[in-house]
Amino acid sequence: MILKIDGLTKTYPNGVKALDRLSIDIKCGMFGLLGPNGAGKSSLMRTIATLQSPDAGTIYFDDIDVLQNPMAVRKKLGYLPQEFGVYPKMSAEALLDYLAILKGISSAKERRYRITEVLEISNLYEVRKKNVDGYSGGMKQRFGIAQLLLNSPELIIVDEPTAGLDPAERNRFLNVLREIANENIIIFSTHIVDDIKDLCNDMAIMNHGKILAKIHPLKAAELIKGKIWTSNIQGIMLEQSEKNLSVLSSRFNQDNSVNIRVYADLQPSLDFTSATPNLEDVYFLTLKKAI
Amino acid sequence: MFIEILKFEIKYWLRNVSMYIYLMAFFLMALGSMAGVAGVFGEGSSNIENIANSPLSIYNFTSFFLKLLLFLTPAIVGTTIYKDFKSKIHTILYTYPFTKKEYLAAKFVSSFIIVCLIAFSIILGLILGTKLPGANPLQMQDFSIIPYLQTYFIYVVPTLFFLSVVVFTVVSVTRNIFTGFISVILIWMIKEILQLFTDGDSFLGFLIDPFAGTVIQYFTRFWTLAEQNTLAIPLHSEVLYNRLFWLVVSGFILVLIYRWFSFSQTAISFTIPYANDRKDNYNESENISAAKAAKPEYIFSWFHWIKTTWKLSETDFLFIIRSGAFISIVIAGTIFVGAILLQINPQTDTKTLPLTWVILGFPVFFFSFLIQILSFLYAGILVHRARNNRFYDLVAVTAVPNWVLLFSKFLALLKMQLVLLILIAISGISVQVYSGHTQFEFFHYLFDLLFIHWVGFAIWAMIALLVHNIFNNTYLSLFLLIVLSLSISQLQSVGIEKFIFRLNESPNSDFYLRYTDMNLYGHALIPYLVYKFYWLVLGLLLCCLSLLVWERDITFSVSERISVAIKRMSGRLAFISVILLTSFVSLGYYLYRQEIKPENRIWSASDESALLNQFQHTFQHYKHILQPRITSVNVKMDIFPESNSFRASGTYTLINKTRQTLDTLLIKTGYDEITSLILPIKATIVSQDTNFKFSVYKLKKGIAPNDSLILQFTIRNKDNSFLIRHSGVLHNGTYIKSDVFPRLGYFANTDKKMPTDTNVLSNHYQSIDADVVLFEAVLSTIPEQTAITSGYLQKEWLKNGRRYFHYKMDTPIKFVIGFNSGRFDMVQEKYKDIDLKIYYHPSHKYNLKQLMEGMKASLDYNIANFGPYQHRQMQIIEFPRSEGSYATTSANCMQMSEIRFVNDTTHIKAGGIDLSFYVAAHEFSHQWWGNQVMPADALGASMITESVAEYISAKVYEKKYGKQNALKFLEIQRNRYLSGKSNETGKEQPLYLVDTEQSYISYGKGAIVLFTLSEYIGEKKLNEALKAYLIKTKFRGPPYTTSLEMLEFLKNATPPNKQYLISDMFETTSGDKTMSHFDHILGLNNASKKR
Repeated sequence: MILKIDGLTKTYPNGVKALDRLSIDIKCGMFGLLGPNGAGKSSLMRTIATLQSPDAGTIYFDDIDVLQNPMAVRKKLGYLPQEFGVYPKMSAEALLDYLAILKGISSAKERRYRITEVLEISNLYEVRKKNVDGYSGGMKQRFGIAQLLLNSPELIIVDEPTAGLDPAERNRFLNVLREIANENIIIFSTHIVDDIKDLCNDMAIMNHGKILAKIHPLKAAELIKGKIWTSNIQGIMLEQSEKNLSVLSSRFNQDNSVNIRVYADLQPSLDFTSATPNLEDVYFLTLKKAI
Repeated sequence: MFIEILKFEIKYWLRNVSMYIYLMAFFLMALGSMAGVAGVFGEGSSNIENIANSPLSIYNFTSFFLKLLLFLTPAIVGTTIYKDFKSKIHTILYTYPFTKKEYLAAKFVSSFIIVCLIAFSIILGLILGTKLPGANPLQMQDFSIIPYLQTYFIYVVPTLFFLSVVVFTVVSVTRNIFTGFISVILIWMIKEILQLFTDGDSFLGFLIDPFAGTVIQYFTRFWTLAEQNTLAIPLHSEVLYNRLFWLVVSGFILVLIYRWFSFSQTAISFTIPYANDRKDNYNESENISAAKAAKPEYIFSWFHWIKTTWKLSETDFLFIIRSGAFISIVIAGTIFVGAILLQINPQTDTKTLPLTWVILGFPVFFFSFLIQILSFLYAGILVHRARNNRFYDLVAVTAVPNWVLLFSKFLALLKMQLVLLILIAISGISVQVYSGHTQFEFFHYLFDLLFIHWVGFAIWAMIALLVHNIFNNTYLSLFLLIVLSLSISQLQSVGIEKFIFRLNESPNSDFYLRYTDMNLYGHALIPYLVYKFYWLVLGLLLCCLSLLVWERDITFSVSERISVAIKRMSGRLAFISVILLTSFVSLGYYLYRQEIKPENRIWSASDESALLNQFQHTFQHYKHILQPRITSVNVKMDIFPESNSFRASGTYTLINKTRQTLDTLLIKTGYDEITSLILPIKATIVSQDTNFKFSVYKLKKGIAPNDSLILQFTIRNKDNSFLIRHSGVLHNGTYIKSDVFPRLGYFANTDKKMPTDTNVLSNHYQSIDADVVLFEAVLSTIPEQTAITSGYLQKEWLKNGRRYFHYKMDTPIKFVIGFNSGRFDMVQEKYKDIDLKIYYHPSHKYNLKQLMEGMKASLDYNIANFGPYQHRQMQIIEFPRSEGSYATTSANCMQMSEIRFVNDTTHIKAGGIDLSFYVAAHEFSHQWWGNQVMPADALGASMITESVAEYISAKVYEKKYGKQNALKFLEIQRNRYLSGKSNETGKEQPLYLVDTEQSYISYGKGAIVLFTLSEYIGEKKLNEALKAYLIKTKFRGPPYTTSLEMLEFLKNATPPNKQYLISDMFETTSGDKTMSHFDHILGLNNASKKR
């Protein structure tokens, strides 16, 4: 099972180039798509999910031409948009029933069985009679997972699902997602590095409509081993440091000093100590290199 | 802050394209209407007598467009407040440092300004419409801005203020823009309901109309044309009270909304709050195994998608019918329909029995409008609902085909329409049960509502779905749809008369097909259904278009949307579209060919008058040419109800009663008939008019004075086409009139003939070619039916499976004869040696007693006062209302429309008018006044026939129901006179010179005048004078009598000190004087009653 994207390009009428000759192959497993806001992640996700058309390029899911034959891929697609709503005054069960028909489960009995299943997976069974528009953010996102599972999808796209969730909700959500990662392709977009670190076995970093790097989250840090340095500097020095050094990230400490992480082949100065590289360093480094 | 928010909001609208569309639409519609009436597009579309820019005309235009503005107000006012909720910006806005007062006031004022601005474009359009080149200067007054401003500021702005306040309140409170729309529909309905329960001429009635239409209507209802053209709309105190009342109501609502409105983040909900458990019962340890469970079976077959369509429509349907808005409309609608059906309006003088066709006829206009508006509205809501709720992405990525989504919405709309249609049936049946009516025609309900009406609504639903799919702005679409449906009804007036170009219309149907108990839907049903099928094909084609523009993909520009549509135009959809398009065009072409066939042409009134003018121009030199007279008529007529046709043959005996030899015959044959004539003398046609089937024959040998000639003819009706029936023959209830026969003479003499002109005395008022004739006829029809005509039945027999009737009249009668055939039941009674019969439709037994009593009472009164009845029989024959709603007399027959057979007699006890009784009495009186006294064909003739018959009926009515009821009846005649007078486009004649067309004078005023005279000089004295006149002129002619002769008798009977009555009431047009004499009588009567 493979998703092959080749030369995908999309320019919006306001001149923004959301996708810029983007090409990538995605295989089975949990795939993380990391990028800052406005990188073009959602445009890419919506294009794969057959919701919008690119100006150029092709997408193949195995041998299905996604752009030419969207119906074929929709049968195998599970999609959780970045933001979604529901019809008011309808329970989770009723909404899932509505969607299950659309997803081709014709027999009422099978529908009932499948709905129970996805409600259990997403841990919503207890609240299945409650109206979804009254759910909390985390519950609603898990409802999003429940609905996408209805058609036993082979290609699952979840667009920034953890945005706005509190840490406990986020954990529960990721647990559910982990549970369903089997023989499928799951594309998971986020701007939070930790989401990927915990979850994905493959990932790409995206910005300005391009894939900047396609890396393995665990192996990525290996590549820059020994090249990450850290130091505490005075706040007022930050600007100068950023000018002279390749500063990846900076965090203010309570005493108004700043902890910076720097990428350099050699120790920049004696004030710096070597640090263990992490995924975040790779992410920021990749974005920086692209500039 | 107020100013800032206000500026911001106004700028929002000024940048909004939809506002300019509204502005332009109203401007152009107003411009076009005014220009049309002013004759810019050529005459014919307007009444030439009307001043286009008179104050009343300006008011009428404006109040028409105000109804459209009614639906626009929610779009502007509602959007202004709703957009903050929709964009959820209110969560931020409400924390900003401005006060509730500033926020609400700025929002309201800005939207109200915009609404007023759009309303002002109507005024501008009207003004500019009068300035267009080509406007007829005769239909124009000098321009004055005053009536425009008066209309705008007194009627438009306060009404809009009230509407805006209501919409603003409702949308603020519910935070749902559609409730704003529903609330204006409700206002309109509640207004209509209140009007049903109140007197239209009471102060309360004036007050409760938020549009102030009732009060204006009341004060202008009797305006004559001259007054309509010149007077300003009166500013009576009632008008001002009305305006003030609604301003106070609006102010009160504004205070309430200010008190209630809170800057909270959630709306007030009118539904039962549900337990909103946000508790997250997450249980980590449970069921990991479930994910590995067996996959269900996924089916993407046709059958599954059809099932899906149904299931989805169910969700949408429940959404509609569970909404409070829909329920409240349904409740108001039911009350309204119930009130109409029970005919509880205090102004109702007559009540029709709640027969099924009556029930179905009443609410159709109202409900058609309601169902249409709701279809427009809910089509938009359903199309945009998923997207507005941000649910659509979840749906769009499933494998569901677009057609399933589209048709599920369509199906939901159909179900909604069905609910409303069933509701009509339920209300109707309830009213029938309540009224104790027990003949339930369930099939008729179902057929009429579901088969006849539903199709039309379904087509509108398809149109609405397309429009809403094209435009994202629900309100813009709604507005366009309403304008579309209104403009279709105007197509005819701008010269588009072919039905194939008039969307969703069909021939012979003004809202509904005329159903009659006797003849069901008759010939109109098939064309109706064919045309509906034609529009249905278009509807399906529009559905294909909807599929092309269905917004499933996210697109970012119009061009992208078009390219998506083009991409979709392939495969099956393309194939189906092409088939539908081909069917639509070819069916349209076929119907077009049918419509342009000369025999299917429907002449408009203006066409007819143009043809008549042309005829008069060509043939005027024949106007005074002398003709032989028809003296005997002998016909054989075979009626074939099953094929709607007849064949007739016969002979006329023509006698030259002049003193010269006649060698020219002018013969006009029946318009819809194919006639062949055989003359015993060789004759050539020297000139002809094919439109009127008029031929001028030159006889080889002239007819000498007192010589006679036999004219033979055979007639058959033109073949019926599927569009038009070319004969008076119905499956049941045939009524053929004597105009199917050839008639002699110059028929087109439309001159006003003064009674002083001795030339006019040679013809009586009903024919130019005969005095009285000997009449004999043999009729045949199918065995189940009875055929009836004037004369006494000589013999009845069956031959070759047909039933024959031989009728013969023993005395000469006027050549005004009807031929009826139907499945009748009959009642008869012998009264004063006269056979009284009523032939009626078997289920119409309701008014037989009243009709019989009317005949008897009329006989009593007329015999006692005016002498014997000339025949020994009288028969009333019922005919279906599709042929008319009148009654008429011919020799020993009275043909009477079925509507006189279905009056609610229980209402009479409550003070209603007994129309069946009254009409029978009136028509019978014509045996004396019309058939014994035959007035000449001159102005004033109908004073002798109709005024006297009305007077006699009033007297007969008084004898039966008492003076109070007779006076009440005369009050109705007064209104008939006054409203007829205000519709008069010609000249109001004095009673003694009344024109045949002016029934408001001959009936309305005439009844009052004679009744008043009888009160002043005594009934006995008046009747003696009338009797003397009758005896002098009985069966006389030529020379025939005129109103001058009758007036002499009345003058002689009137004492010198009361002669002013004759001049006031008969000889001058002064309606006021007549009415004051009548009021005097009423006053005397009231005084005596009190004593």
